[in-house]
Amino acid sequence: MHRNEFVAEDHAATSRFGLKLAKLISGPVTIALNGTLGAGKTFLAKGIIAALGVDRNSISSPTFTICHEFTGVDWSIYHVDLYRVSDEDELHELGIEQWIYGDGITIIEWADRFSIVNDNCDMNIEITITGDTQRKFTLYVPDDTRFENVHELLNAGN
Amino acid sequence: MLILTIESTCDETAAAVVTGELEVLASVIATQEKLHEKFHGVVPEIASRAHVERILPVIHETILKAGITLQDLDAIAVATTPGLSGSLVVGLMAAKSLCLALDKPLISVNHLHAHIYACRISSGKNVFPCVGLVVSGGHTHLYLCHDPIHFELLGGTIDDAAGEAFDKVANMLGLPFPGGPALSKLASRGDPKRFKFPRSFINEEAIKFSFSGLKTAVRYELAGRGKVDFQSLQVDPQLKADIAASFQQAVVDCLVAKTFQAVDRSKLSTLCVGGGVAANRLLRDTLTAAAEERGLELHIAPIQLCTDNAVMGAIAVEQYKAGQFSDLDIDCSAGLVRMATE
Repeated sequence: MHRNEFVAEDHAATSRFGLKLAKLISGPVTIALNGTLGAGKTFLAKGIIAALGVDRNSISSPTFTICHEFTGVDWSIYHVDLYRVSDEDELHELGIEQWIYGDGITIIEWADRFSIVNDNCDMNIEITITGDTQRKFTLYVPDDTRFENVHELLNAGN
Repeated sequence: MLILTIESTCDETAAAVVTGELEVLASVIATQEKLHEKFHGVVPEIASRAHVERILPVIHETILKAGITLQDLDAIAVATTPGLSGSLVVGLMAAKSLCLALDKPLISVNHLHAHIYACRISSGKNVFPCVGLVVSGGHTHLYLCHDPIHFELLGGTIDDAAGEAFDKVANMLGLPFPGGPALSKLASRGDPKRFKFPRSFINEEAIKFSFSGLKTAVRYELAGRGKVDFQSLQVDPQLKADIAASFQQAVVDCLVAKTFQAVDRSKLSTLCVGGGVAANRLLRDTLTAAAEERGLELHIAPIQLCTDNAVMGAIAVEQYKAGQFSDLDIDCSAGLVRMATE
């Protein structure tokens, strides 16, 4: 497991971080976004999904609808939110497998509510509130995955 | 004319039979009809399987209540967008199957347009053209409704829907789900002016809503920035009530300001409001007062038509009259999703 930390001072820096993450995505992948209420999970998801070519204004919180699907340029994009899902049965009834193991780009907010989801992502990002607009992003990436060099890749071009 | 309308976009499985004169012959919503007794008391809140289990009994009961037979129907309508794809597909497949077996035409209904059309049904008069506000747990959108079948999206939330903000702030305040009613009750004992919470875009031209920053501001006020368990957070009851009141005021201020901005720009004199959050008392009162002051005609859907239901699918009557039918190979569309326009 590789662990890396990044700090964004404000919204703009968080959006730039999302853009960088999006640039790392070259195929179907599942990314978990975790953090407390108000940490900015949806905001980061917006940054990533917008960078993948979706109109920023059409990316809103999927808390209520559980999943927003976007027809991306090259892949389908699934923006999932497990906040409202109460147990594993519901998770399976929702068809969580289609998102985790599907052939699209999946971003899952509140993934850590369910270990079977959180443990099966290609990247887990923990967002911590460190200031009014400052956020710390802790990235966890399993060994031997395409994101193994995430640190170098994200720092490239700084 | 008799149309069966089916609704399965989110949590509720619902069906109704309406006439060409918008008379409701029957309306069934699974969660309210105690259908769970037929399913050993297990009704998962959100699950396409729950829709699968409920859809046929709901349709059956609706037809029985209406006192008609399936053959009497002139068309079958179903909400196909937006919603959770696994849920939408259940309603759509049921509708398609009925159409195929009965040789009836299929009408594809937009769930959000239907929320506004609820005002047409309850008012019993032509409300078009109008500005339409849909405000619910999943959506906060403003439309220019040229006529019952031409809706132009003016703008919506760029992050959380208003109802979602209510639910999440209610959660922070340790209130039960659904958060809206509980939060409003608490707010009635609080000072709405104590905290100056952000009102995004309120002084800008853009027809947009944002409630995510507001939610974060409430969180900072209530619990600071560290990790907290909101359920066990000890907070002074008056502080809680003041936060609830100040938060609710901020949401309502944004909704009202943007809505009247849209009305002013449209030069129309009718405003229709639907969706679950339209049940909020402060929002209803503020809209009513503002509409009165401006001499506008205001229609807010009655509470039972604010939350998800199939009656509002009567918008299909208008589509039927306009010849707007769908092929049996149509797909449902989960989101309000658009690709970048550049």
